[in-house]
This record gives sequence, C-alpha cells and structure tokens, in this order.
Amino acid sequence: MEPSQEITADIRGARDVSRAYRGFGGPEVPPELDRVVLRHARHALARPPLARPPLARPARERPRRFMILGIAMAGALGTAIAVLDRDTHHIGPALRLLPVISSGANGGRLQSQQLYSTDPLTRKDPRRWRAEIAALRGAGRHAEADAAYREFLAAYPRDAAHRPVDASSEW
Amino acid sequence: MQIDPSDAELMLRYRAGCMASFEALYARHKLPLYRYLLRQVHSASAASDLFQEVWSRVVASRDRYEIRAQFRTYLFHIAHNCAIDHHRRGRRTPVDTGALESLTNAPGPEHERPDRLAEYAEHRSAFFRALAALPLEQREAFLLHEEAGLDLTDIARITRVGVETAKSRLRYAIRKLQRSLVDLHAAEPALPQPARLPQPEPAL
Repeated sequence: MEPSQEITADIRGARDVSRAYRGFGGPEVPPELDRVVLRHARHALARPPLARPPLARPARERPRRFMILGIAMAGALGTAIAVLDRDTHHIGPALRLLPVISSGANGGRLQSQQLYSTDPLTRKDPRRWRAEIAALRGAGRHAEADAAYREFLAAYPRDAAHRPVDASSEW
Repeated sequence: MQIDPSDAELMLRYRAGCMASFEALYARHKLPLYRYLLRQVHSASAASDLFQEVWSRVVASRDRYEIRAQFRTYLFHIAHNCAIDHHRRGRRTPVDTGALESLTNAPGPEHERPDRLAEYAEHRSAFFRALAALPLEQREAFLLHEEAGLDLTDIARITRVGVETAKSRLRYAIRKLQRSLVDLHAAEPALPQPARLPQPEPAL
C-alpha cells in the first residue's frame, strides 16, 4: 500500500473506530460515587490545607532550601569558632604553656589533663605553676623558666606583684 | 499549548472556596475519566477506587494547581499515574464480568428494530472485547485520545514516551479495533458505516 493510501486508510479507520466507540456508549458514573467525591471536595474546603512535608515539595525547590540551610549553618559555625577562638585567647597561656611543661618530668600527665582545655577552672594552680618554674630554674633551664614565667604572668597578671619564685632570678 | 480557561478558572474558583465550581468541573470530566479507568482496569470496584483517588488528589493539590496545561491533561495525568500504580501493585483483577456487562449490555439505539437489538449488543460486546484485548499501552493511547480528547503531544507527555511512539501505539490500536469492526461486518453486516479496510498489521 502506498504511503498516501495508508494515511488515508488510517484516517478513515480512525474515523470509523471513533464513531463506533462513541456510538456504543458506555457506563455512567454510579451516583454513590458522585456523592462520595463531592462530599470529599466539600469537606476539603472546610478545613485548611495541610502543610506539605519538605520532601513532598517539588524537587526544584529543594536545592534552594538546602542552600539557605547550608548558609545558616555555616554562619552559626563561623560564629561558634569566633567565640571559641576568643575564649581560647583568653585562657591561651595555659594552653601555650603545654609544650614547655611537657618537657618536664610530669609533662605527659599534665598534657593529658589540660590539653585543649578551654575551661578556666582547669587552669593550673598558680602555686604549682610557680613551683614548676622554680624547678626549671633550679635545673639551670633558665630560658624555659623565663618563657614559662611570661606565660604565667599572662595568665595571672595579678600575680605579677609576687616576688619571683627564685631569688636568683634576674626578676 | 492551548489552555482551557474555563476549566482552569473553575479550578481556581474552587481553590478560592467555591464548591459550585468544583461541581461544574466534576460534571464536565467525570464520565470520560470513569470510562477511561474502567476500561483500563476492567473492574468496577477498582475503577471506583481509582476514580475517588484521582479526584482526591485533585482536591488535595488545589493550592498547588498552576495553569500550565489544560486541566484535562492534568486530570488524566493523575489518572494515568493512579492506573500505573494499580498495575504495579499487582492488583490486576481478572476481567470483571459485571463491569463488562455494564459496558456491553446497555440498550441499543431506540430506532433499532427489536430483532436487531441482540445483534447490536453482540457487535458492541465484540468491539469492547477487542478493546480490552489491546496491549495496555495501545489501549491507553486510544482511551486518552477518545475519552480525554487529547492530542498526540499530550498523550506522549502523559505516558512519558516520544510523540512518534504515542502515534504508533494509537495507530496500532485503531487498526486492531478497525479489524474487529470489519470482522463483525464480514460475518453479518449489521452495523452502520462499516469499515472495510483490511490491512496487514506491521510487526510491533
């Protein structure tokens, strides 16, 4: 069959089939089904629509929402780091002292107790600290003792008025 | 795409709280939708369930409804998804004889003589049997075309295939149904406007 004839036959066939389909008719919607659907639609108007859960939203909206959430989380994280950094500077001397005292006999123990501690309550006891400085100085490790004392003064400025723990020191 | 403003307007009015608009919308589309579902699932009870589900989704999504296509396309898109879900759930019910009776035993045209009513019913029954025997995709293309009045572009969009595939499915469906009409008339010429176009069916 030629293509043009085929198309003509298809068109005529479609018309015949369509006419037969429509002419034969079909079932009606049961009345009880009408009542159920219309009642449901009426009741839906009476109550407010439920908010969609986030994952029910179209996929196109999700990246934008995740981006906003990501920015908010990044901001919160940045703020937390800034606050933590400020606090760390405040008690920094206690942390910065660790390499100094870790070289001592009790260094390992002290490091395990105070490493990364940002709690002022876990600072070293000033008396004990001065004793350690004195021990360093007594062992002839003056440079380390001087550095430790500077850290000590930074952590306990009020104690600057105290006399040096070692009378032989230049302070 | 041409937008049907009246359907869309009714939907928007319903969203604004006008129940009468929904009733008008429902009255306009309920019959093609019901027949589409019934002829897709071959079960009156399953078709009723799906019918309610489709309208329930329309109601639930009224606040998100956007005029991007004809309402009819939107409605039958939902119906297609519901029917596909039904088939995927494995709830293929055997052919419901009650549903088929309601399809095939409707009274014939009044002008028909009583002695031809039985003949008419037989032809009608044979035609719908041929429709029911079509592969699901071909039957759906045909029903979307005949019941929903959708064009090939919308059929392709709803069934998520290319336009050429939709066209091919529709063409095969029409040829098979046409052949059933020809067979009927070859056996006994009783139907008006017989189609006499025996054609070899190309391989699918």
